[in-house]
Amino acid sequence: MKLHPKIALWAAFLLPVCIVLLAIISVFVPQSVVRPQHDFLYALSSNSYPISVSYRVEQGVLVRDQYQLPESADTTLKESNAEPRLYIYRVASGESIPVAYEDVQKNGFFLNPGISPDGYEVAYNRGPDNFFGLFFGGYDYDSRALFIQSRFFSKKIVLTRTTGSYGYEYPQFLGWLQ
Amino acid sequence: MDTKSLLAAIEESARAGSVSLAEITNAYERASAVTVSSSPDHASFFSFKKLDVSSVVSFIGIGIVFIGVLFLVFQHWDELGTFSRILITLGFSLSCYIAALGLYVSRRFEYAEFWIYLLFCLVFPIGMVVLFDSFSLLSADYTPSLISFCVLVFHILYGFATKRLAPFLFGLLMATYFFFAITDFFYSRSTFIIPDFSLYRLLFVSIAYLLLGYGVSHTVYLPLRSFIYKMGLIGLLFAIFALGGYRPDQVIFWEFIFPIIAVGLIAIGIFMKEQNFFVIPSFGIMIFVSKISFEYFSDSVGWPLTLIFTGLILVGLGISLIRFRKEYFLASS
Repeated sequence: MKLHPKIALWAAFLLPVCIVLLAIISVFVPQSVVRPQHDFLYALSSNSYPISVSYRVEQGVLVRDQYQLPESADTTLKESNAEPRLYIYRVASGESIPVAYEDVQKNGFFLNPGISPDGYEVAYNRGPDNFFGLFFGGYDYDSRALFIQSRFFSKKIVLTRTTGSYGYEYPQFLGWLQ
Repeated sequence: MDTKSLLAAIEESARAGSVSLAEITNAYERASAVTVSSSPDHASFFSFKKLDVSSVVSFIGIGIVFIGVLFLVFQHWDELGTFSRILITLGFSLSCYIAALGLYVSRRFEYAEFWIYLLFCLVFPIGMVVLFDSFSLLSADYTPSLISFCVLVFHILYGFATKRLAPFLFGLLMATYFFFAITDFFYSRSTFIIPDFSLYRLLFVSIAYLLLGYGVSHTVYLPLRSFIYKMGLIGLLFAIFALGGYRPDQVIFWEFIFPIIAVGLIAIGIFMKEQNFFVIPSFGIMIFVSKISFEYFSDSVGWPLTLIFTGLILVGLGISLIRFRKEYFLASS
């Protein structure tokens, strides 16, 4: 049996077209398939590397590290190092509720910075495959967004804007509330 | 048989479908050692073995012009206004496009046509980037798709008008870029996450290249067949190889299927009498054998012994493949 060259030409053309069509169709799959059961805590900072105050999680407990900026530090640096703000993301309503560090301490939340019990994780960009995205522009990175992901599905959540529509903000996922 | 009756006989056979263009051109190539193509200039460039001195000099000349345009733009970038930036890059490339078309239509200086078109191919994408940058659209995620689509349209139009090899080749490369860009654009908006999506795309694109290589066998684009096959084979084997991963994240299915595919490609090569299908999968098998040896045996027998055994296996494999090539490829050709 010999493949006719014309059929091969059509197949060569239709194969990539089918993949593009599948990619288009996949956009219309609703994000409601991603339904995590747990809320999570995150911090929003105007600086990607906050110096004056930063948060981390140690054995499920939120820890606040504070550093004193030197007197000589210029005003711009001091302003850009404003204290990161804490938020609880309510998965049911899709809202971000501001919360104070003291309230987090008082409520005794146990924070899980890894995968939630129902199999979701929070990422800073859509992954896990962004190798070619760097070259072709599909790399979805938004400084005001986080991605809730299971193994095969992803949902982008745009976070509360607090420094104006053009201000850059850097989210830091701190953990699922358990 | 005189020329007239010979041509009439060819025409009649072609109409009846008893002889293909590839068979005629192959016969002519065998007899005259000249590559046959729709154009006198493009074919010599794409058949790298037959590159002459003037082609090499012309190629260097075009490269110098291209670098000159780049330097001109970047050295005076701040002094140039938006209009001037667009004019120097996009305007220059479009004038090359028109000049190449003009030369084609006039049928004079056909050799220069190819080189001017090549200059268009190099400068036009830069011109599009400058255009998008002027309107602050460069950072948008749809920009790569849009730019590559625009460039592709120009290649397609030129290709349809002239049936030259260059627009086909550059159009193919740009279509490949467009495919990755547009699927990235939609994928980044999709709810789905497909691990190794890029490698799967590469896999399908490579299969499309192999089909295309086979498909162009009976067309005027025959001189590009070998290049298309090479791209397809390298892409296909690389995708499967990479999908296999490395211990502890290896995927047994792809590791298992790699040698089967490679041997299958060699079998297809024998069937089609196509050397590319032998050489590239053979290298693939050698790389695969080395990888598997280090992946699974370096812990148990140690690195030095693994190196020795892998080296011996490669020597044995190499000798067998050379004998195999002599028997099935060189003998038949």
